[in-house]
Amino acid sequence: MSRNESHALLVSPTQDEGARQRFALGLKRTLGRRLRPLRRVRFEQKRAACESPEAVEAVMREDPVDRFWQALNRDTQERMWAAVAAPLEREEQRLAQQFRDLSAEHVHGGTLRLDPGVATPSYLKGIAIHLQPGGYTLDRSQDDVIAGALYEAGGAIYSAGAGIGVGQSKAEIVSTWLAQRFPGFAPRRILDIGTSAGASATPYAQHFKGAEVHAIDVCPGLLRYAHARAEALGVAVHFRQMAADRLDFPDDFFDFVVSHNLMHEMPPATTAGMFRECARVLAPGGITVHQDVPLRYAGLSAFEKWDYGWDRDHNNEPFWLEFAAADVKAMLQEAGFMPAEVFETILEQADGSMRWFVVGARKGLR
Amino acid sequence: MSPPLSSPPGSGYFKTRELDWMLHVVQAVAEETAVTRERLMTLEALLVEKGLLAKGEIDGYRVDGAEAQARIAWHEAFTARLYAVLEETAKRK
Repeated sequence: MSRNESHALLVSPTQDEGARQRFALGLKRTLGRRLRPLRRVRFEQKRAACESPEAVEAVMREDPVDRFWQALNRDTQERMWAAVAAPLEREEQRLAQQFRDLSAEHVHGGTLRLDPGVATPSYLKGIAIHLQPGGYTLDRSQDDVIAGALYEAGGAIYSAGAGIGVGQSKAEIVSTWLAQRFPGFAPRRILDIGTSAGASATPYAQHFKGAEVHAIDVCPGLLRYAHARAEALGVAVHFRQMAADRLDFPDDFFDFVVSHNLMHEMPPATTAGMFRECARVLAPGGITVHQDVPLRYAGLSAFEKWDYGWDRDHNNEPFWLEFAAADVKAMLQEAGFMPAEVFETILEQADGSMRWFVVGARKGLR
Repeated sequence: MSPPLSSPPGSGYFKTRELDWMLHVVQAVAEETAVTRERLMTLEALLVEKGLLAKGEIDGYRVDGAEAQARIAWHEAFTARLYAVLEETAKRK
């Protein structure tokens, strides 16, 4: 259940391609660990009393050290993606063939259902989230899997750059916590919303043996890859193109509905819609869990809000700050869960390398 | 593969766009240097692995005498090429 399982769709970089990726990684670490803290040093040197991130911006706008850091950080993120994309471009035809072969065979019982009737949400149109080349919606042909391949390969490098342990998938962290918090919980039907490359759907299928696992996303390029990846791993998952806030499943259908790192990539109104759908499709006694980055606005200084805000404007994270400021627990209650049913916690990677924010609810036996 | 759709490569960080470009150039050169350096590491590791070179032999290699003079001359010619633009500009009427 480690987060970087080996499978047939992974592309092995050549020596030079690998060197470019390692260069980007080393550079990201330098920028994050040594140089980003200089933002605070420069801000404190100015001895300005700032009550808001906007006030910090006004003070820091012309700071040459900070401008330079920003330019380097942006360029490095672009460079990282170029280094991730190069081996995938080189093997694009093989990946397309793998998809055709694996989806034709689907010997492991998984399925893929794309639905052209599902509109691309406006907030994903024309934007490359975290600067991923082509964005999540990249979909140039009927066997284009590059969006998913980029997502998985980029995620692995991003985590390594941020020093996040790779020994545990996020699904494993949540599964372990579920077993402690709700002993005996054994869902028969599971839904993974915003599955991307399917890297959480497969570990749930492996962990909850015998459970029927469904996974949805709005992006065809992600879903094709996720399906082929699951088949390559020998895990049965049913992938469908569907919007998080318009689930085409009956009431009380699932025992477990989950999302990983999704809330910060959607407008709060879509998250609210997703929560309403969770309340509807969950069977009484069912559990919904939503894991995301531990970025919470409450308790942050004006400087920290400004610093974290960089990703919104320069790394294409349009909903980063709205998510950080949202009272997600209250949103679950507004979606129909009772106050006593809702929970919120922080979960840590077993190696202590990263903390994750988790919010969710157990639907009561009403 | 299409480039990032949202915005052109980082721009507007410096007072002039030429400085933005210069940063991309410097970063690209740094990347090529790092990649070349890694290739040398691989080459050295392979030579050691195949018994053609002892570990540390390159670091222990001493350059002196005529070989040192030849290398200094190479550096001189290299830096002259690097800053050739100054000479060329100065010579222009």
